[in-house]
Amino acid sequence: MVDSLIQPGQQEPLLNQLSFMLFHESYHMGQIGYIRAMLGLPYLA
Amino acid sequence: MAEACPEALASTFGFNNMAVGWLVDGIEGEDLTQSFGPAKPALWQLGHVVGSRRFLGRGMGLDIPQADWETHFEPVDEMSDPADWPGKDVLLEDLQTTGAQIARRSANCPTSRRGRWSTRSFSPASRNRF
Repeated sequence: MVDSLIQPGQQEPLLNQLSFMLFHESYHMGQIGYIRAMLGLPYLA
Repeated sequence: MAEACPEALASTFGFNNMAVGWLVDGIEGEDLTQSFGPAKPALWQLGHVVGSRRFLGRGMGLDIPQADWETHFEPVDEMSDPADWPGKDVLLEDLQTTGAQIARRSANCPTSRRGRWSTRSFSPASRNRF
């Protein structure tokens, strides 16, 4: 089942996983950004 | 309909490899384990991102053994003792290595330049490019 996710021509489930991961990471990156702001740290020092 | 190709996302994923490093850069000591209102600590956020990558990698069939520290960063209401968490450097290294594994597994379409982003790593000098 898992292997079927990475076979040529069947990449959409893999794209779903990767795009969800990007979405998920964006949320937590925003949380760290909020903490940076609370600490008074710049984004681009 | 265009052919599905993970490379469309791989460059964004590679950007995250760098951006997560930027975000935790300069957050040190007790600041790493301090909660800010509803926001869990920066080190927890980092650990959760890394743990999630490991989880996804296993779902893709990669051989990523369960690390003892992964349970500390699961999304539960009650956090474990930050004294038991791994350090920022350990998590950042794992972010890169696990990301590279996922990249190699994902870059299987004919037109992909596999490995292109998997070799990217956080460089303070590179932040000026964005």
